[in-house]
Amino acid sequence: MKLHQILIVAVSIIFLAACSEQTYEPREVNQETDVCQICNMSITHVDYAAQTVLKNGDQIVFDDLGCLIDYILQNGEDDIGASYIRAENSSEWLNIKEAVYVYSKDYWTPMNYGVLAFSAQTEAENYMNEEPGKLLQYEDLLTLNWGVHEH
Amino acid sequence: MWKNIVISIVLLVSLTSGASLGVAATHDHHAPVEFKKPIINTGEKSTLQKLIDATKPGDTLLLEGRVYRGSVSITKPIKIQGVEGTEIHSLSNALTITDSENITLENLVFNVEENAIVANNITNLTLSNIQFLNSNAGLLITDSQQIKLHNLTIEGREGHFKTKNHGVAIYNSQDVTATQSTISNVLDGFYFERVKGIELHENTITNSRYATHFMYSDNMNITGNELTHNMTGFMIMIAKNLMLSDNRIAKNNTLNSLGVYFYDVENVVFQKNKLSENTISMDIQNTKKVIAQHNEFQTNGTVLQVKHSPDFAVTDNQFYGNILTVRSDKERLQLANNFYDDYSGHDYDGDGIGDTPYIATNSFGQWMVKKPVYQYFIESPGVVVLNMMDTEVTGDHQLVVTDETPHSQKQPYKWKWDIDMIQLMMSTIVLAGMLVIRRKLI
Repeated sequence: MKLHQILIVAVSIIFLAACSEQTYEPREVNQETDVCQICNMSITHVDYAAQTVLKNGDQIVFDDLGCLIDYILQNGEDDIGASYIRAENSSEWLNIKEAVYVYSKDYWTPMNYGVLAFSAQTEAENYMNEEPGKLLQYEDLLTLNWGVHEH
Repeated sequence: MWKNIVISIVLLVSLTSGASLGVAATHDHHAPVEFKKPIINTGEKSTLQKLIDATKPGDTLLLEGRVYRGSVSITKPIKIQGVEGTEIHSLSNALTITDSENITLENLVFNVEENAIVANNITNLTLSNIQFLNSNAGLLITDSQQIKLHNLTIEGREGHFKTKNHGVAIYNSQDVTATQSTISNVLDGFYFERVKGIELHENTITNSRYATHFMYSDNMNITGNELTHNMTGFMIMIAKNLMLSDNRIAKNNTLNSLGVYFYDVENVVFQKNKLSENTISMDIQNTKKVIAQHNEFQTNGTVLQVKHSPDFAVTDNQFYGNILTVRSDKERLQLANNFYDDYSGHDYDGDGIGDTPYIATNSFGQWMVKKPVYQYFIESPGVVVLNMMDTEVTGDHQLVVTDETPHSQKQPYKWKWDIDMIQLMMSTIVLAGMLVIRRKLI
């Protein structure tokens, strides 16, 4: 009877652990020590930073959204739990698949890729009223000509 | 006589007391608050601005050896020349130069909270013998051409680079020459973005994030610079057509440090440079047509770290006392005709080239780079055996990089005679003095 109870508890724990959804939270960027995984630049402009949380818990930071997309294109998405980009108009981390993007070659970003992120389309459109650009979704980023690798 | 003197002293004392009493009486009408000089914007132009306004285009404004305060602007072709003691102090940008040509500034000292000089849309701007002391940033130039910077001294404040700005920042410009300048304690010594035509000679940059940082730039000739104690010496990204020669890149060995970093660059000649005591001497990524030749790599952690640069050619260089010669990806790089102090092969035919290939990768070295404490085991029996096993690995292995034609003897050292005449004269005098004293004593 006692062994039976232990077994039930053990199975319940395993079952609950399996059911619990793992979260992949972004971390704060350390300006003194963090460097971009792709281009090696130190991340002094935190407002443009991006990051990826791998399924194994590792967190990789990037100085520019373009470097994050380069990482995804090089390594695939299989090991990625979630990826984040800093919003243009706040200090909020946005999930890159939920954010809305605006591109212009005249927007400044640390690597000059010129893509900015917003939490909603209305915010992006408001921004474009002041600074004209082109509206993009996440899928567009994967095929965008980022330009930096061409000579 | 004495009577007159006494009367004069009494009168003087009484007058002084009266004045003091008068002041005291005035203050008695108010609350005893600490006196602070109010900052009042009267709209009146500063002395320096009046002098600039009074200078005709093409003329020279000679400034006195004193401190000028406030922000001023220049919009016409003039030359401003200071003398010893001429200083410009400001709480915001000190000098704004816009939409003009043929402007020269000489012999000035800036002590400014923000950028000392901001220039936009200028043709032919010359700055020489200028000091930027204790500033958050030095010089910001945009959309300009024919910029000549000579003998600038920029000293940023102490503290981490995240709180600072660039020493010299130039955007969207062309034909920039910077010579014999000294920069320390800033974010990046020279930050150039979208600049075409860069000549950078004999500058010294220390204690900054990147000594030089070039992005989206083209046609650079960079010689004789000394870049030490920075996070990175040369940080060159997305650029074409570079010649870097006779530079000294040393002691860039803090966290994440690199001596030289090339990212997405094309058509580069890197020659006759000396790289020593860097964590990673050269990090090369996504490059095309890069040649490193006749350089000296001495006592670095890793000499070459290479990714996605299969045509990176490293020839006729000398490697001394480094921990690891090469780390690379599967695409590897091209090594040929280099001298390695740890080459253990022989040259039986006497042609100066080793008879067996040099294997540049080293398993233990790779570990040591990841865990520096492993260096304490560097000559232990286990590591010696591991290194011997490494040399038995054939060059066909995916990650092994070899030099098939290593030099078996180092290239002869070229002596440079450089005599300091003052030191020679002083030494001669001291020696003569010692001989005279000796003769008198004996």
